[in-house]
Amino acid sequence: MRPACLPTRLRGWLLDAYADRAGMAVWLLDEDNRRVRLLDPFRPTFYLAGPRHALDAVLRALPRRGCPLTTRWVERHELGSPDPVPVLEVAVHQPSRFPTLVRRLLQQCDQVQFYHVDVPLPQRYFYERGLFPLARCEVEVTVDGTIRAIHAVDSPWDTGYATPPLTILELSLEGRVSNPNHGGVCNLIVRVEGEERCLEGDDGAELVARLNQLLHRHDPDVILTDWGDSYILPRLLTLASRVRLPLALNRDADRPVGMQAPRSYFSYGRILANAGARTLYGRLHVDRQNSFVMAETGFPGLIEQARVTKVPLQHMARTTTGTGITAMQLETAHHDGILIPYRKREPEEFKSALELLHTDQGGLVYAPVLGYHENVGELDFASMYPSIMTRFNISPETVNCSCCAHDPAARVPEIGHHTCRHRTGLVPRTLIPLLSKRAQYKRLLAATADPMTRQVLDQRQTALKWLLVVSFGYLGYKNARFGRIEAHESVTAYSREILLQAKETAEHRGFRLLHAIVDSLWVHKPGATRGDYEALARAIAARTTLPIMVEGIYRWIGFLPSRVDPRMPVPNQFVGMFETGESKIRGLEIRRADAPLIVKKAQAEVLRSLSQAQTVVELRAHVTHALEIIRAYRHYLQSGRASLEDLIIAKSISREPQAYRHQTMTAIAARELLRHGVRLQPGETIHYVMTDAAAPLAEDRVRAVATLDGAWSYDARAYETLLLKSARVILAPLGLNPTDLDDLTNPGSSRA
Amino acid sequence: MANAVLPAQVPSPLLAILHRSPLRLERQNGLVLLFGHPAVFRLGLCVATDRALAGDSVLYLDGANVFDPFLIGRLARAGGAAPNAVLGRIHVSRAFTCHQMARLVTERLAGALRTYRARLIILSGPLETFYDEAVPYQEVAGLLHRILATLRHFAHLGHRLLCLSPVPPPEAKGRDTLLKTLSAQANRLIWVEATEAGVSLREIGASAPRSWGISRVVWESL
Repeated sequence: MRPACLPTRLRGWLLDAYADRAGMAVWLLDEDNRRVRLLDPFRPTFYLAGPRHALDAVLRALPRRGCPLTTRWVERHELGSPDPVPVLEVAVHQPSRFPTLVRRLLQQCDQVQFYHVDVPLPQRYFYERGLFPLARCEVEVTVDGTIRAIHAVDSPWDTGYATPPLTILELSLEGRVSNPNHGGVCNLIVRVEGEERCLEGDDGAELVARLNQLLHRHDPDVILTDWGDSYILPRLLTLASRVRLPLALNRDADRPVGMQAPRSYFSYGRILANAGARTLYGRLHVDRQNSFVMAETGFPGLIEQARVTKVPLQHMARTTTGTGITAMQLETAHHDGILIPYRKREPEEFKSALELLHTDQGGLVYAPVLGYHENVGELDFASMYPSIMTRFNISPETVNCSCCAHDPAARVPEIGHHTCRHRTGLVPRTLIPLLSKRAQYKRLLAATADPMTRQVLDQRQTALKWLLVVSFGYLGYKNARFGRIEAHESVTAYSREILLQAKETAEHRGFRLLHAIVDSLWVHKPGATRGDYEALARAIAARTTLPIMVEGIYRWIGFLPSRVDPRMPVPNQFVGMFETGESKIRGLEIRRADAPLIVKKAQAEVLRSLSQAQTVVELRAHVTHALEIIRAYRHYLQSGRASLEDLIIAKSISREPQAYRHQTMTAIAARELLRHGVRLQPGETIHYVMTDAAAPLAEDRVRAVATLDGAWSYDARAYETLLLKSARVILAPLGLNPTDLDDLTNPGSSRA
Repeated sequence: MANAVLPAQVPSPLLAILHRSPLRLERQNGLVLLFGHPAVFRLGLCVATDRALAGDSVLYLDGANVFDPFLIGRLARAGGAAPNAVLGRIHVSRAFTCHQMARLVTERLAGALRTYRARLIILSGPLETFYDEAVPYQEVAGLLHRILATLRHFAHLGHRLLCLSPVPPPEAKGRDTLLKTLSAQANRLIWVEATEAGVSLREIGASAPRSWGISRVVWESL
């Protein structure tokens, strides 16, 4: 792919960068639509600190590693320390040997502190050169493709950037919706430049040859797959090896396909599965089924996150959003000459259990006033936690700094901490441009009518929203490089104070607080207009100094009861109809991934019917129609005509199948898959149908979808129970009790 | 509401049992390891409360994020003491990574012992952060080695040390040797089990093995 004679100056988009023996391999998509591999003689560095004898020992050990290095003494800062510290800088001349060298030193030198050792090299390269994934660049090159100079001509903070004309080849499995690793055989579908082909797998050699042909002909920049990481690419590579044909997935033919094993991890209290990775060189592989950011924000959101975080696109697609925000903090640290420690070592300061009781609290919640209400305004603080971090300068090194301990203005409300009034912290410095860019996108969105442009802008602002959302959690998260629990506690303390101030301001102006949860308030005042709610938002913003906006005015909103105890309200569980005719729903089956489709369909129809009501009185009048809808669905279930798609229940397994102690539906289905030879990891989603929920033999109660053959039937009664539960939560506050709901919707009942 | 009076009566039988066991920790016992069922964490909180009720200052190093000030408050109240006073005598630091735990023990503990004039150190789930697959085994083994050397040093200086360690979770594949390494350093080993009758404690390896039991009624009303 390297043209015989390159012009000395190139312009194009930076497609990929990775460590090579003599520098960083850089793939450019140039203005003549060529894909060019260049080499930048970049020498990554790391730093060492420690007792002189230990560093001398490292120095003596270094040259014997057989990898050219340069060392020198330099001064750098530890985060929060005003005085620089002398550290030994080690520059590695062969970037591809950097990880091995560091790994060996880490094992051998336990008296030395390591810095900058585990920042991925492509990110280090981007930081040093001011580049980022898919940046538009100007490059000066020698005839052999060595980069003399490279710089970006656009900025990751631009909002009106153009994306490169990428050629995308899609690989998927014919008709497949659930995880193919759980069973079944499918044909491979290839889509590229408007054409779709089905490659059948009878003759392995032919399949590999045909795929190679397509890869050579179209030379895609991106291979976009469904289940590519865990199923398609591993199987294609095995097949290619079996038939002894090379598979041209990589553009860089000297490289094997990158491989990362699957893993399970905890996030926000849930165990999640990552299907591992199959990554390419010079070409990008993105698996839609193994990418949170793709699922939430599509390709435009993925590009946006990769640009601002400087995490290579393939990695950004598969990693957590928290890794993205951490990468941004690492860049801030790197540019400020702050040492990036290997692993987080700073523990929590000792505090008494009494202090812990006061400080270790979350956001404030006011339980909702149960039932349906009219003319309710919802006011939301914009990116409340990141705004608090920037407004009050909350960062690991600014909380409880040594310079502001006695400044009353620096005190965090309620708890004994204070924040620095003199130096802006690393976390706020990282977040300020992010908040500003998202605000710009929102302004552009408000001023744009074109639906396609609106969609892209919305996906980009959502991608930034996710980075902002996790920025708070990462202050306290164990893997956050610059996290600190006291900073986390300070943010929640400020948030409680601010919500309290907002509530007081609303009540002072005659509004009644119906519900509040951390950064949102639902308030009501008879006869209040949009102008009144806007004025309230301005008053709250003035008092709290944080931006707050009217999310909308509800014609009506229902705060719905607990499914366990109908007298108990549940925070953030509601259905509401805005003046605009749009609805907002939280906590109902229709938004839950594990609810069967038939339940979602029925609930959606009920809500559509209710949405026609303008007032709570009219809502009550629509109950009869809602009951008819439920009755029709029960009839459909009882008739035995419900399809498999209607009935599938998707559940994430929280442990390995053998580790379940109780015979839950999920455990039974997981064990069934295990008996069929399917290997499952905690966090993975499995699909099943309820066949006889009350059967004495556990194996008869549910069947895993992947193992279903021709003969199976479903338990209509069990699905009816789910259906009734989903209706009850909406209709109970309108005066319908469970017995009446059951009787009035049962096709066989005389009351129906 | 027949059991409404129970909370006031709970600590007496429970603390009486603890007092008869090596968990009394009034005297120098070296390193006592309480291991087995996750009930070890609750027992550790009971021991911390017991010592704080007696007026001692306690250092609680939490590697499992299980510190429960509400339980301590309830126990204190039931013991006839003001919860705030008891909570004020227990000093906590949480570690969320093995590197933080190592630094806490090797670099921060000595200062905290001086500041709070504490004699009792409770290490709650010291190994929980060491099961993180993201940190190579050799690295965690080195960190544990340094922690244990520091603990031996404090035991030698006459501090009382209680380690609370449940059996490794299934995800900790290949790292169950860490618990063996820890137990090899302990002066007294107490195995904790949950049974139908409640929670049982059994001393392992002593010349005259002994056991203690906490009834289900007492345990569940904590």
